[in-house]
Amino acid sequence: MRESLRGLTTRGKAFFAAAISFCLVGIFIGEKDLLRVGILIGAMPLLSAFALARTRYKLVSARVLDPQRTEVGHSARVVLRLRNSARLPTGTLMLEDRLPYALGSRPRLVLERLAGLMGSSVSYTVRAEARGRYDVGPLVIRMTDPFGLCEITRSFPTKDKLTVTPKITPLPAIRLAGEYAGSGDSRTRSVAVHGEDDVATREYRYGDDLRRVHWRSTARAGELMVRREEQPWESRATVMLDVRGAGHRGEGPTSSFEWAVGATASIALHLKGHGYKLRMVTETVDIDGQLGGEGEILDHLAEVKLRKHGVLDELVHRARQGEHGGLIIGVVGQLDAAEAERLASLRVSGASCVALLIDSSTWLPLPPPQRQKADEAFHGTVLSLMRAGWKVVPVRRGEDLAHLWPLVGRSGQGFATRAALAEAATHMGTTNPGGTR
Amino acid sequence: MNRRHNVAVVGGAATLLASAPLTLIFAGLFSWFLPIVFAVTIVVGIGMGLRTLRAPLPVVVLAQLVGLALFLTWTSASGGAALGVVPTGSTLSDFGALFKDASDTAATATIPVPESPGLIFVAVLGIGVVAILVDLFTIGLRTPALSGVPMLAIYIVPMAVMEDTVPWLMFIPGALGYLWLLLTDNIHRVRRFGRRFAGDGRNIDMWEPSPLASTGRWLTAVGVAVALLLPLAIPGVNAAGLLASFGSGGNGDGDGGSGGEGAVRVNPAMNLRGALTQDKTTNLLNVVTDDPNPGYLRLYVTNEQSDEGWSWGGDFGSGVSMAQVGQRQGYDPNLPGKQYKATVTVLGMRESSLPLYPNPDEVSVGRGWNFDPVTSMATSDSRNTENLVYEFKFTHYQFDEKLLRTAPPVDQGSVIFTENTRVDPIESIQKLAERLTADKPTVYDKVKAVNQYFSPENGFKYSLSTERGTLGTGIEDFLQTKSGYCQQYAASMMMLLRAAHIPARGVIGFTSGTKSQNVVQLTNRNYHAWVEVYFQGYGWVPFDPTPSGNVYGAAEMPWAPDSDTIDRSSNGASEDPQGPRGASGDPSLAGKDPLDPNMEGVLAGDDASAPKGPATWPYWITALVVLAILLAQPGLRRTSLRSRRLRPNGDGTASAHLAWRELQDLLIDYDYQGPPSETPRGTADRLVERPKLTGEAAEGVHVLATAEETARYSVHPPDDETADRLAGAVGAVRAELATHAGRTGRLRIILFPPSVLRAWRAAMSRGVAGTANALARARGRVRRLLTGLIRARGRA
Repeated sequence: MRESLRGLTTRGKAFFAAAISFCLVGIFIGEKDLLRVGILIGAMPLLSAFALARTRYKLVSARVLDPQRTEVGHSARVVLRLRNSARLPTGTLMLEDRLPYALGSRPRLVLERLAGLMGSSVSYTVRAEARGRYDVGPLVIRMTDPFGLCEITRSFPTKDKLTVTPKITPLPAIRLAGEYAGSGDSRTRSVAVHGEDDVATREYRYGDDLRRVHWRSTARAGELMVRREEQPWESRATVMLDVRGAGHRGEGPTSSFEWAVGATASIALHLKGHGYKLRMVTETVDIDGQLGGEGEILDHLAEVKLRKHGVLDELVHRARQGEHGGLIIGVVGQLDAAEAERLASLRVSGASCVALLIDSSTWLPLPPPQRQKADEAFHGTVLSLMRAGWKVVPVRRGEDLAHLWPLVGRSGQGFATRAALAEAATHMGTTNPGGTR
Repeated sequence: MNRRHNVAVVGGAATLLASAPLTLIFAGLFSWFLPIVFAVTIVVGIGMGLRTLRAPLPVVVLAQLVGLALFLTWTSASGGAALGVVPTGSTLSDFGALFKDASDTAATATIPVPESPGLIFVAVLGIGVVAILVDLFTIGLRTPALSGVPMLAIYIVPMAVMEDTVPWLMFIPGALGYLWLLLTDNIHRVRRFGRRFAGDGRNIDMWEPSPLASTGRWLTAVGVAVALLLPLAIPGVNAAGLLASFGSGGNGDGDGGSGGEGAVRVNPAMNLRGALTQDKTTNLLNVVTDDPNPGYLRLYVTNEQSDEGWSWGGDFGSGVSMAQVGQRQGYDPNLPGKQYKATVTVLGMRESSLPLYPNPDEVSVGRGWNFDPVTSMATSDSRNTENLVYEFKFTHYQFDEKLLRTAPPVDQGSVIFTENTRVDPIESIQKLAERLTADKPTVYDKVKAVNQYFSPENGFKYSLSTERGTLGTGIEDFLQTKSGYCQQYAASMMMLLRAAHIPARGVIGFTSGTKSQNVVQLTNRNYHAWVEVYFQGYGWVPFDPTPSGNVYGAAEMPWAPDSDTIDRSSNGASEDPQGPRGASGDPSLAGKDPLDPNMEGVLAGDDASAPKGPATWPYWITALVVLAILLAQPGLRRTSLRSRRLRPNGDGTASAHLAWRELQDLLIDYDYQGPPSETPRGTADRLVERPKLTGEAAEGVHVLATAEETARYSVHPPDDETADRLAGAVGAVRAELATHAGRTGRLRIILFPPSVLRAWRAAMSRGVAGTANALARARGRVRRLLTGLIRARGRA
């Protein structure tokens, strides 16, 4: 009752104020008729509060997101489960789930009556146009009396996270240079010339060939053991994302950075889908894409932000720290000459490195002279990476990753590339004659 | 589309409910209520229509005002209006006349007011404006709680006008209406909050009732009951408030002899008219006196004169103290007179002045009463006469012509002269006074001449419903139309005398009433007004200009010949067809036996029915029939639909589908509707399970389901035998369902089948939405056309 009275709305409070003045005036001038009016509008808020307090409710609410992770522009379903754990039925409940505005308008539902010890569920869909991790909830429940004189607001504190991942582009299956180049467990399948067989064993499983039973270890272990011979070679890949503020241009969902994030996510999922042992590196994180790791990668990519004073060295350093055998694919923004050299140095002999080099100046409208200058600088970067043995796929604004992807797989030192190298060399030679000497 | 229409309708209904207290003010019901209903309907209808067309708020309010004005023109001032509804200049002057009539009626008439076009006009205008305000607050500004203010204004009107408390019954409709409005608005708000769903996860349609409504109804009932009962429990609040009892704090010592608490301030003139026009006769006073022929009982005295003859604006509580009783101004001590005693028992009168015979010598009454020797009134500013019993002694002087003729003119410098001859210089009255008194030698003769002037011989007739003249002031009107009642007679005489420089004052009080042995009974019919004239040396002498034939209980005054007596020998009051005596159809009664109490009821009845206009009952019967026909529509539609569906048509598939549709509608009617995805077989099984159809009905529902299944899915249409069984099956199911629905539920379903209502509602909202969209499209097209034109002109 006290709680309901505290929940008096403006209308309810105004009723009280009017009631008091009417009653005073009525008593003072002796008009019973006015007193009646005063008593009526004074009694209504009290009665309403009483009625509201009488419908004691014990509600339990749970929220399920389906799916918990959704792509930009796709919708997710939110199911609210409510259970009235009291024996009395509830009154009319107005439910509102608090959502960030990026997920659209707040869903509002009216639950007319929930019988005692009964549950109910209701669902709504949300849809986000920008990647990120969003809080869904808390659920706010409002109860009102029939006249709108008092209103109790109660909120369930539980929140759920909805991850909105960048847009994933399905990529065509291609052969990549780094396939099966990684050093998996199977590297140990060398045969010992002398002494004991250096075998790995495991316990026998139903269906194993009896001929593969390793009797020696069986004797040692007390149960049937078999030789492990079936490990496949493993493909390994490292995906790097450049998050330097200096490397990217443009703002919002159409910026070059968003393209880079989307490309990184698409490539990571594609590689994971093709059995690569995946690693994703940015300046700040180094995520091992093992068991369920792609979720972690996507979660990170959902909320990764540009670092204003990011340094390429940190990315290179972090990439070098872990095991970086196999394929390296970097989604890299604009680089100056020194940065290009440092990135180029990441490649050790034999490793295949691909750079999706984003020409982020194309995200800006530039006048022709500056455009030419920017193009020259970009060419220089491409060239210095190529010289170090990187395969470079230049990316310009408006290009589709699905179309660029086959270029990644094409044999690195093809004719076109060499021609590009030659052209770049002559181009540089003409502009800077001293450089050719 | 905004669905606040039902809130608007409830707002209109609440306005009508809130106007219920006006029934106290108006005598009839239909003459004022019908126009009010129409006015509110027009206002609400215009509001709903324009809002559907998405008109902005000021336009809506303006259109409502215009609609109200047109309606008022049509009903009240058809004179001069173009096309009957469009007001013109002369209509406005008509309105002015109506307002004037209203204020006149308000000034003269008492409650309940008989039919008065002016007051009805004002009431319709007022309620119309209230309806506009309620609509504005409820829909336009979305603050329905504020609409209580205009509704309260209606409630206050009878509170302010009536001296009694408003009966508690009158409180209920307004309160219910207001709470209903709040409830509807809030439920509407909750409904619009979001998607509605029930506990079982089913979505709820916008139109389905909300459980809040039933809680709201309970709360309303309890709240109104509390508001009615609680004031009874508060002891200090009676008709007279705390304020009044503060004023008489020193006197309120439980002295039973000083009457009711609290002063009563009413306009005696209005009271007079009200008392005379009242339908019933109530006993107000019993006076026991040993005076064999007591005169008139004085209540109020005025020496103020106004346009209307006299005014009663003065404060009557100007008495000094009871000790001054017996002090009389300017009386000749040798005047023949005799002292009598009187005991007054007040039965049903609440005034703040004691009824006394002229020239009281001694009054024994409780504290709080003061006597004013100038007016000879005993008044109180803190008490009233309710249930008062008091005694007084008075001297009854025997004036006669001879004595009075000896009285010299009053000294022009004396206070009495200046105080009682003030008069507005009205030329016609001045002339008339001069003409009447021109060749009369003495004061008495002058007075007598003026008194005689009011005889029916000069065309004066008694009528409680006054006619309007053209001269402006009330007295001039009276002297022109020569139709009025005691108040006009007395006031005119006072003015004429004053114009002739004779001191005179007006008195309101009681006539001699009905006397049996020494008990005088006075009722509201005995209220009367007369004149007192001052004679030097004799004091104030009463004169009654009203023809005694029209006065219940007129006293013989030997010095003042009745203005009626002159022509009584000839034709009496039969010249006076509008007067109550004439209406009674027996001229012999006139004046001869005015004390017959049995006559009073008859006369009162005639009196009240006299000002009735043409009969309105044919309209009412027509309206009722039309209403009944309209109300019967849903039920009739349902019946015709059913018979059309179940008529054998020779096509098995079609009849199976029709029968199934009929079953679906039945389920909607009896509230057993299933989800739309349910199969026929599922429906049948569900119905057998709940509400437990048995026997023939269970069989019937299976027959229907099978037929529908066959019609839907089978290549062979249902055979004729099945088709013949369908109608019987539907009948059986219907009979069985009806047993589950209770008597009132069944009646509701028969009269207002939900299936039909739902279909109509859907069709209506589709139609409205279609119209609105078409209008919006048309508007867009026009706008494009206009912008195109403007652009083309700009280019040119």
